Amino acid sequence: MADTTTGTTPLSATVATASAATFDVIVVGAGPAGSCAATVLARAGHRVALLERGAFPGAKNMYGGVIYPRILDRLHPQWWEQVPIQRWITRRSTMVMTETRALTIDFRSEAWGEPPYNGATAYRPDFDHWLADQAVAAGAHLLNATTAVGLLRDADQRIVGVRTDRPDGDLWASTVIACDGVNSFIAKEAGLHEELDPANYTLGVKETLALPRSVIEERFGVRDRHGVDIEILGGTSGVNGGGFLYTNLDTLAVGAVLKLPALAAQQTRPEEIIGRLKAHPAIAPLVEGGEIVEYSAHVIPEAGRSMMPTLTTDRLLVTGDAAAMCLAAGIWLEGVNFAMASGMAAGETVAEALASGDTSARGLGGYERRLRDSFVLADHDKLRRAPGLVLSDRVQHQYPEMITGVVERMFRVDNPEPKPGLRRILREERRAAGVRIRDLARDAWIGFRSFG
Amino acid sequence: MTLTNDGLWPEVSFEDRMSTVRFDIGERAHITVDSAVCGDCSTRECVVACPANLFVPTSDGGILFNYEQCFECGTCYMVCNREGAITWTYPDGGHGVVFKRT
Amino acid sequence: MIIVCWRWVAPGDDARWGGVSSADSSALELALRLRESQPHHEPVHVITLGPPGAEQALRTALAAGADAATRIDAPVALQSSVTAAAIAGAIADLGDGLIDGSAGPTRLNWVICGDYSEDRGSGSTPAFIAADLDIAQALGLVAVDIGSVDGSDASTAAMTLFATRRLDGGRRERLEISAPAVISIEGSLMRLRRSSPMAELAAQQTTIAVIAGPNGPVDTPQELRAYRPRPRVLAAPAGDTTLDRVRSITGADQQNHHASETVELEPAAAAARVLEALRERGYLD
Ligand SMILES: Cc1cc2nc3c(=O)[nH]c(=O)nc-3n(C[C@H](O)[C@H](O)[C@H](O)COP(=O)(O)OP(=O)(O)OC[C@H]3O[C@@H](n4cnc5c(N)ncnc54)[C@H](O)[C@@H]3O)c2cc1C
Ligand code: SF4
Ligand code: SF4
Repeated sequence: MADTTTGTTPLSATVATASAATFDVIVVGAGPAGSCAATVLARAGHRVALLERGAFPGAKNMYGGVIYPRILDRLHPQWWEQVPIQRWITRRSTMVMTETRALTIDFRSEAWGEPPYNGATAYRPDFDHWLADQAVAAGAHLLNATTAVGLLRDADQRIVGVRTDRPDGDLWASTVIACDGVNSFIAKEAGLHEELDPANYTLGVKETLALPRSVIEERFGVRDRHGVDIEILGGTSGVNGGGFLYTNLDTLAVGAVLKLPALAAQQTRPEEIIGRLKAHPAIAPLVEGGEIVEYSAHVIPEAGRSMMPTLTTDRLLVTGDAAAMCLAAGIWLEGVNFAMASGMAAGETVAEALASGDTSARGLGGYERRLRDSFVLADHDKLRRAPGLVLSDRVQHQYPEMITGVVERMFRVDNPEPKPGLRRILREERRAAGVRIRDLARDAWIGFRSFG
Repeated sequence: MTLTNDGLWPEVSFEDRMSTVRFDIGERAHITVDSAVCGDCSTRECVVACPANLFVPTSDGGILFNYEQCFECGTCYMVCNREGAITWTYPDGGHGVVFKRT
Repeated sequence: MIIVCWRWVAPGDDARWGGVSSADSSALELALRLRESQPHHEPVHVITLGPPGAEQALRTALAAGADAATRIDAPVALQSSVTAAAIAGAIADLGDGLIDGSAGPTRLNWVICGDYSEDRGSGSTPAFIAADLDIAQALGLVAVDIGSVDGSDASTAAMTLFATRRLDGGRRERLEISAPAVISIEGSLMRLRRSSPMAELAAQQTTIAVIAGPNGPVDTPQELRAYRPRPRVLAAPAGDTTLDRVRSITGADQQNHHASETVELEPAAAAARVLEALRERGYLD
């Protein structure tokens, strides 16, 4: 891409003047990452400014729909008594789909419907708002409707704060934590990202569909506040990506995740792709009659480890989606938990660095160490090659044909023909789908190494 | 609601679809498109990719862009590969899209 | 003193989904500009009636520069006359002699309201406030000439405003308004300024004065119905048989009055012909 002009307005060296607008730390963005970082720092007794460009935290945030909040055990024990959720996920399906066929692996666990739970559907304007409230309760200074437009630097080019778009909007601090999400303009301005490659991003679009609570519970076979999470491979009109369908209390979230270059290179618009997904025989009966009450879109950093920026520099840390920490590997679509964990790690690191008086890259070195010791970088390292695999043409187009073809043949009764052997079916369906044995073996090996 | 697409799914018009979204529109156009640059562009990635369908080709070969109903997602500047075509910033604080059940 | 009245409305009293109208924001901006146009500091006081969620809006007002804010604790859905009475009472309680001017320079000059609220009520609250305070009113202003404020010395400051008001049928009216008066203005007049981060944080720490308000009666929402013209008595159609009556209703037997006619005439003659045609067809007497 793209030498289009974007983002922040770089400032020529601005000389710091100490004033009332001085904080220990400025956290840019009150999403899951920012609110967790601010909570940790405020609890450690630091003066924290938490900037949010939306009118309230969560106003700008959209995602598929499932949060895995176990990471909050440490920060907010008994979080499940307060978190504004829609339904606890007790049923999780993975669906492989071609135009006319679908194979579903369906898992249910009643244990996921009791504390401490596993995942829950939630609306982000509710969840992010709640999480930011916790930061405010801890003593962080939340500034809504405030867009950070650039970093402030002193005569030695050291980062000394953030310029916002409010009048008299310069805020000073010895450390800035960039939690500003996928567009990550702060880290880009600081030169921490490599040149932008659209192939690393997907566009997520979704429809929120209203249906009566009882209809949802009947169609999806759940009761009380239990809910269902369906991840879909295929079903995106030939554009590399995936689909999802989640149950909220009285709405459904149905949508698609679409690889940007693939989307831009064809002619079907995003909302039409959702429309076709909704019309698929495996999905239509579930969403039928649902009235669209909100349409939304957001970009996902999809490529994981390979696209991560430099995470630490003098007086600046990058977290969450701004650091591409979202895990988007087909059967997983997790980012909120990664964002919260990295925000907490950033908060702890900066508290430590402030205590020792060194917020240079060296003083902030504990950040990456903490991430490596936690699931954040451990999962990303392990699943380094998964995003590429999942979004590859073979996984996207050929394997669904092959797999659903095999299953169809296994269950089809061709009497008077006798049942064919599984090996024969495999061979024939592999050939029919145009899959070469060599590629299959290699993908299986990558898949095994990643997921195994 | 009318049935289109061979009656496969109930379709709402694009205007109705966008009317489900709340926008607190700011005074400043946070994204601008230089239609002169777009005149040389034959690939038109933005037109199919923008989820809000804000890039409209004009009869004189340019692009008509309105910033008001924008999701602030970033897709357009990522898929466009012509220098200077899109100038992209966030809206002023407190303005722009306001999600509710997302 | 300048009073600004805000109507805060939010579904479920959740501040995320509501707020004040652009007209109300505009009212505060006008108040601040009036204050700035004078050499002395005339206090701006914002009053709203609503649940605790409304305090967030009042903090925005304080951050933008209002000197004080009061919340009257009451449900938002009160009848406008009740709302107005509560606000007028709160204004009167701000100081003895405020309204009749016997308090000297801190007398009440302007009560500024938005012309409509977020929930598009009847817009009648400002009129009730004026009645309750027994001062003049000028409602639905589309332009206010701040430059015309006579601010040369503190005792006569901001006593007169020149403004434009929209009348029915797209006509306008120029008004000279003398203080004290209640005015309501449209949202397109001006946008409320943004506040600095530090003003915003300071406003968050401020405790908002709360006074108890009425509990009812609540405004019963009016049912919306399509416009239907009033019934008129029509003479029964003439004719003895059904066929005759149908003919006379549909005008099937009469000559077609609606055929168009093209003429080439001098302007005066053409005008005369138009009038004649209108008369022929019964549009003019
Ligand atoms: C379609 C889709 C489906 C997804 N599905 C899931 C899912 O099911 N489960 C899951 O766990 N994750 C999912 N994710 C990923 C998840 O949404 C993200 O990983 C997560 O939101 C990242 O959190 P964050 O705090 O890093 O960034 P964000 O949530 O993006 O928060 C960034 C915040 O910073 C603010 N901000 C940005 N720039 C500025 C600025 N300059 N000044 C002030 N404020 C600023 C924004 O308004 C925002 O509030 C999905 C994402 C998408 C797009
Ligand atoms: S905005 Fe970019 S992609 Fe769109 S027409 Fe212009 S140059 Fe082409
Ligand atoms: S940011 Fe997204 S919604 Fe806005 S114009 Fe660009 S592609 Fe369209």
